[in-house]
Amino acid sequence: MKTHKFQQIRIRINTPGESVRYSAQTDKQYAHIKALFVSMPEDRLIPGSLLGLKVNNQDVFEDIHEVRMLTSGHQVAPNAKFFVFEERLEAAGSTVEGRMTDGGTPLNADMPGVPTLPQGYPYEAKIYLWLTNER
Amino acid sequence: MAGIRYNIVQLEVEHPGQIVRFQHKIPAYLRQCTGFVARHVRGVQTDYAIAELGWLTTTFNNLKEEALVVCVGAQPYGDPFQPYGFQSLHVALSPGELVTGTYVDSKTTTRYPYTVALYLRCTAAGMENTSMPGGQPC
Repeated sequence: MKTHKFQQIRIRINTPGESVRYSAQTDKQYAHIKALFVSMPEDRLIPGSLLGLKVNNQDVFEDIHEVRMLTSGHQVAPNAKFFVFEERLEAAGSTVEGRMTDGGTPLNADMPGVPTLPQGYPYEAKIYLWLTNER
Repeated sequence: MAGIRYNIVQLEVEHPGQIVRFQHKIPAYLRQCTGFVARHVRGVQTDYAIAELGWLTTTFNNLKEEALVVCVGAQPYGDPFQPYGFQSLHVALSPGELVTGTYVDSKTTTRYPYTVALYLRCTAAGMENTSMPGGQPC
């Protein structure tokens, strides 16, 4: 059996400033979560965006943790992109949940007419969990 | 409970030269702060790097230990995104005591308001010797 798996969690953001709860389960065949990487479709969506993370109801990142701290650009090698967890986080079917908040300025609901979405919305943010059976 | 917690203090700066004070309580089970990052979060959109937006000072254990005096800058949009690392810090925490600090804006930008954040990487009892910070080195 393979010892590594990169599990993806997709979060759809529809409007600027939107805050979305997400929840997922890790693959049961892998013992722990080694690292995490957040991928956004455009670099300009990263500033101000926030990601909270809980594993088995245990706080890993607060809801105001910046995505910028958990991602890197295209010029960084894939293996070096990941934020590596120093402590052992159990996988094996663990519940992974949290909240993602977009960094954009929310649309003004008081403006007359139909609000126009800025370019780039809606989009999908992706969280990659690096699962492994290695000790 | 997690053995490592990233405590985040976010500060909003609304006008030039503003002094922002903060008090933050770190959970009592955390015994040591081993790393920190102070950075601009949002608000200042710039095409070039600003080395100094302001200065942040931080004191631990109810003003007993002044451990941080750090300059906060802003990176331009489109800057190559390297993984973030934490600068090392060695502060033993007394349970239940406050982290306090002050941010002073240096009037180097015209964009207000903006937000800066201080990330404190703290470890629980039994993990004090963990040396490798999360992510990659700066």
